[in-house]
Amino acid sequence: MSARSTQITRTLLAAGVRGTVRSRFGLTSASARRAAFAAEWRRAFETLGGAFIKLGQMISVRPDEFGDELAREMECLRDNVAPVPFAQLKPIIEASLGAPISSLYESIEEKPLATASVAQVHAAVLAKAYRPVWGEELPVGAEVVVKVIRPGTADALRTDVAEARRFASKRLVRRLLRGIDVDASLQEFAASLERELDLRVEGRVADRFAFDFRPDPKIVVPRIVWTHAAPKVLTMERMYGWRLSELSEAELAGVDAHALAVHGATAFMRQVMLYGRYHADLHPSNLFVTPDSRIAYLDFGIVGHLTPAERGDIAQVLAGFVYRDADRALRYSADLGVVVPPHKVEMVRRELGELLDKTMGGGSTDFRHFGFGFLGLLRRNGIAIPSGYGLLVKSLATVEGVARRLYPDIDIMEVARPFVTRMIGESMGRPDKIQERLPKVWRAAMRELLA
Amino acid sequence: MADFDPMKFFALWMFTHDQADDLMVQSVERGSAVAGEGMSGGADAFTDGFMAMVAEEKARLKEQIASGKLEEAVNPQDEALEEVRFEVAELRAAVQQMQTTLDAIAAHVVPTGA
Repeated sequence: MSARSTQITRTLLAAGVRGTVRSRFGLTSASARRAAFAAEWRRAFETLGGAFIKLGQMISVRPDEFGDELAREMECLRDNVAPVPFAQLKPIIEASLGAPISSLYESIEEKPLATASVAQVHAAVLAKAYRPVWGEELPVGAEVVVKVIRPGTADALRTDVAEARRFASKRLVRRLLRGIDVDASLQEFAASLERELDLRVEGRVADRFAFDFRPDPKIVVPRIVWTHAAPKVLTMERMYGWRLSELSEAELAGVDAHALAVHGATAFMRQVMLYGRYHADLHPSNLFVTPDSRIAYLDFGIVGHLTPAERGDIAQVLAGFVYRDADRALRYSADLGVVVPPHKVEMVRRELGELLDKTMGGGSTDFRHFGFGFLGLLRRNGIAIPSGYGLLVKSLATVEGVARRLYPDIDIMEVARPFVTRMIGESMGRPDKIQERLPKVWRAAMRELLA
Repeated sequence: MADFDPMKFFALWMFTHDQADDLMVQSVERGSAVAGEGMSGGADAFTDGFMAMVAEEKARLKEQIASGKLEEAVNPQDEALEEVRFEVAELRAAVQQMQTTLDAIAAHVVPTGA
């Protein structure tokens, strides 16, 4: 057994023991027990670092698979890694870009701007002008940031994934994680790690987002310098402003917080329902508010993709939530893969109706409460939740949280209502829809007249 | 069958219009109620919400007609052109990135770490 393997086993076992003690050997309520274990798993993941930080981040966006308590706890995961000395990164930059740093950048800061478990970010100044994929040219002397994969990271992460697989295959762990598709989750996790280890993937997503939002002057995405890009190095425009997680009241006073919150929430809905690509890791440190009151998107590590048919179904499900129409929500959820067995339809519909009335009616709405409640309702009834569906519900709940940081009284469903209504209204005009629906409309009208 | 009575026919036609108009106005009123306070929720709520938006669109259209400034529809050809432009720019970026990789290989620099 390797030293890392021993460390992982010891840390996770200790977390399990502490969780058992904190939950009074299982004598507390089920939710208190889950919360106690979740806190211990989070601490253990922080101690282990490396791939476990990434695993925790993935868990935080999947309440459908891992439960609300664990997903919430993993949102607080801190990536406490010491910075790598620049002297170790310089050879990686030069080897990846095939030129000495002095010819690539006018200057580069040795002190990092940000450090995380996978990559480190340094401020730099561009030595040559560059015409990006979209947007205006970056001139000589433009301020950029250089993101570099930390040395040894790829091997360490792959080793950790192998260890996590070995650990997950143990019978005791399987029992503890019952109800979770461990193999599929680890498979998905390994694939997302591989994508994250190639920074060009993130660059391409950023370009696409910049293009999608080209008509919107309020949304800004950093421009990528492709002559200074490689799997381990990505150079992009530097953004100034405040991370949403650092925005103070004084700074908020200088911007139209309500307009910004509404705009941010609408922008997310456009990503989901119009473009079919959405930023699925929208926590407050991945969003900047610029001094000229624009929203800057950063870090495109987790991105959700949707087909045109899925987009239409999501608009319908959302309309079901917004208008508290449980039938509509369930009908179109089925098209998205949430299949309720016939003998449970009536019960699920009733429970969903009650949840909608409790969380979405009476003048104020709470999507997070509703969304997680709905996922819990499906789980309790043994209904499989497709990963994309869970990710989307979580993302919407996060958007609500992010918008509320800007403007605490924002009602996300009030923002969604005109959006989804218009989307569905517009889709009605499509010839294929008309052809599909007209006979039904005619039959319904005749039935009513002849009744 | 009784003889066709145009007066009765038009009266029926007018009555149907009045009824439909009343129902439409009520639907718009229900749909305009904010934050779900006036909206009951359920299957008909979407129709009411949709009708309220149609009424808003009608008001906007009326205003545009009155001012003589009708919004121009987006030309789908322009959209398609923009999409192609983006794809070409993406290809250019991919070629530039490949050139960087080639330069790196040609420079014979062995990457350290990672």
